[in-house]
Amino acid sequence: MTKKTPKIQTKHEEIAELQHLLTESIEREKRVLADYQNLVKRNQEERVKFLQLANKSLVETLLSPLEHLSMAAEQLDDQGLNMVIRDFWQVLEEAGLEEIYPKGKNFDLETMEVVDKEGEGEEVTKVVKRGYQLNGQVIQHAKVVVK
Amino acid sequence: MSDKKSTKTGKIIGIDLGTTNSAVAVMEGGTPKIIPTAEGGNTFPSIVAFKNDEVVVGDPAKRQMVLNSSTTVNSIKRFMGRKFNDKAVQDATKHISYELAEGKDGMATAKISGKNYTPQEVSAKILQKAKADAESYLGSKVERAVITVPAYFNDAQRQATKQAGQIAGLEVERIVNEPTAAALAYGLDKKGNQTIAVYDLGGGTFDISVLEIGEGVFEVKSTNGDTFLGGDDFDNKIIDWIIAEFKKESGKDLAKDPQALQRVKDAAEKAKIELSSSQKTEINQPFITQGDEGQPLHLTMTLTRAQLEELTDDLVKRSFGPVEKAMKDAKVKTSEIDEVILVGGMTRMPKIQKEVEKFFGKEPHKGVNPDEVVAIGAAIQAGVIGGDVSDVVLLDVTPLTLGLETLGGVRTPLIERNTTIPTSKSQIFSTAADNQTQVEINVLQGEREMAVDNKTLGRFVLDGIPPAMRGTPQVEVTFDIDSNGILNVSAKEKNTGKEQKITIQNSTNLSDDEVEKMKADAEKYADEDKAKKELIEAKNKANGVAFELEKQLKEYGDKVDEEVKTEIEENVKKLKEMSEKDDVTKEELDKATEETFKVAQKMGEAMQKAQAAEAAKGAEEGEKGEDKKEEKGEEKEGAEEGQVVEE
Repeated sequence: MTKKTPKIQTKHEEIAELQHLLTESIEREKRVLADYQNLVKRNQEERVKFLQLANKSLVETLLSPLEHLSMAAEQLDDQGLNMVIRDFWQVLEEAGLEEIYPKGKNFDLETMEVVDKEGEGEEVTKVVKRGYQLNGQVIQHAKVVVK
Repeated sequence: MSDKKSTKTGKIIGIDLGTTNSAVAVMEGGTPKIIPTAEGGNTFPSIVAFKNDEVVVGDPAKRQMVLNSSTTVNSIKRFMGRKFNDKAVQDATKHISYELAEGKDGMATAKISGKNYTPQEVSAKILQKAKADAESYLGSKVERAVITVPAYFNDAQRQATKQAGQIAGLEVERIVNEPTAAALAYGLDKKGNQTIAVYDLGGGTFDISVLEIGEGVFEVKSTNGDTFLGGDDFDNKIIDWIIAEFKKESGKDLAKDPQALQRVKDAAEKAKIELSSSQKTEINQPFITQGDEGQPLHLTMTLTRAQLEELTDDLVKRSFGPVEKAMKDAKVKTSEIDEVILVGGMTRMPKIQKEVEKFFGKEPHKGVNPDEVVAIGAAIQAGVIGGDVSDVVLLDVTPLTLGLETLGGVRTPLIERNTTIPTSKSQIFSTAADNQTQVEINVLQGEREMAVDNKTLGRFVLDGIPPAMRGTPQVEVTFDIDSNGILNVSAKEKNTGKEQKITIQNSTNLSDDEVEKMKADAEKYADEDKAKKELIEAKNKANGVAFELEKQLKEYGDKVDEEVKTEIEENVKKLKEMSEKDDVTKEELDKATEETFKVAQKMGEAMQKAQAAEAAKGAEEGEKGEDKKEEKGEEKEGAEEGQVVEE
């Protein structure tokens, strides 16, 4: 018996070690599986978002020329140009674009960014850069001056 | 820093808690991934706004900063673990719009609406956002994190960072130096002893660090930097230039018109980004302001990359002063730097990359997004702690090609080198001789074309193959390497199902020198090996042709003229003799094979003739049969008509 004890002890240690390894492996396997399932879920969510905002990058590149066109219209007050802008806007509205109109309102953190203030209040007095939402999501915050 | 095993489970996130911007990453499916912020970005401004009881962090805080400048805290990292009277703190006060105050033990605190907030408390708000974004992304609770700090942070600053994590409800598993995290992101910890320089030019600060790495341990040799040099300085240079140019042209100062100034700022940032990938950019802002008579004025100018480099030359040069000092402090020469890493968005600028390369004499690493590289490295460190990163399973590749010996001593590859393991590959082979009942599988490792020049990892014999013509039996050989690099090779005869296998331990466990030598040999002898392999292939082809013709002669020899038969037999004999010679060349063999083919065509022609003749004979006999039938029919008809005749 005395000879066998160390052997048995070694076996016990071996079993304990193997059990430990098994527990670790199972844990790791679960994590990997969970990772995968989360990835699938997120992938679906991202797909929905992607479809909603599929036009986002194109629309974003159009914001600058759109703003310039509006400035031209304000300066020139040309009927033809105004018609062109209305046409342009109709297409963009169909794609889900909306302009944010902050003037006269109080500063709103969700849709605006303050670039200057002329007093202690929070009322928007100037819009230095127009803001836009695409399908309800802000894609360009309106840059405003408050008073 | 705790050695104690955490009782908390779940993912550990890596956080780059920056002066200007912060980023969060996590290991997912074995690779690090940046966690998008709630606002949809990959990084967020390290800005915290206090408004009554409400706290806003990140992009929304930045958007209201001008409105609530005294209650919005930016660059809090500059005050982390520092005394209020520190020179660094006093210098930084010029760059902030909120009030600083002396707190407990003389420490610097942010005084917001009469209340003192320690830098730990403010940083905790940033970390809370990081935690919340990560939880929303992962869909589970996050309780542990690895947070990065600048290499120059002292113990008090590191402790303060750790406390910030604790306040945010995070168990800080480790505080990692930012340059170390960047090196981890590039996997430089696995490349043996190295000296690494990390050039980090971010939004508001510049850091240079020299690290030494050996056996997975990073040691910071020296650090230096400029606490007030960053991307904003570059933007300001462009803004100033645009305003000055416009003033020269029109006499109007755009800086005085907030709307125009905003448009110039946006245009300057856009131009800076564009000039990282193109040589010139157009800055067009129509109706930017009005002239003295109310007429619209447009801003239109071209900025070239060369112009931008000239404009910002002093800023780029400014960064190299600290670099030189850091090199001097580390007591290393530029030639002793093994790797250079670029961190921070500004390092996208080609001029900076060029200057860094010029200074160190080697091309810097720039594969990982410089805004995200520190967070990525922190996530890798977090993965190691959490057990998500295990080198063997995730990163190992077979260093050399694994294959087997086939007919004529040629090495046939099965698993190409650099294949990520675990992997498995099967291929069907056959016998080389008639009635061959066994095949020997010689498992080879190496890049050489001939079996003999590669390393034999093991060999075994599969016997009991039923006797058959050469090329008929199907032996499926499978190479399977598990994640530990153990290679299992099996050979199975598909007809009988008889199988034999061998296990080779440590097929990937070669020293770097061994691998390099084998690769170098393969390159050195590439032409020679190719020639040898081609000769063997020519011999195999010649043998194959000879074998096929002998078989055909046996089957159809009686249908061919004796003369043709003899000619073919002689050619086959010559071809076989030739392919056995050692000094034969590929060209000679190809020529002989070609000639034998031509002669064999005669047999083909003779066989075709014989077949045609047989067919014709058959057809003739068939026709005769038809005629007879017809004749009979006619007779019958006639008989029917005559009724009385003959019958």
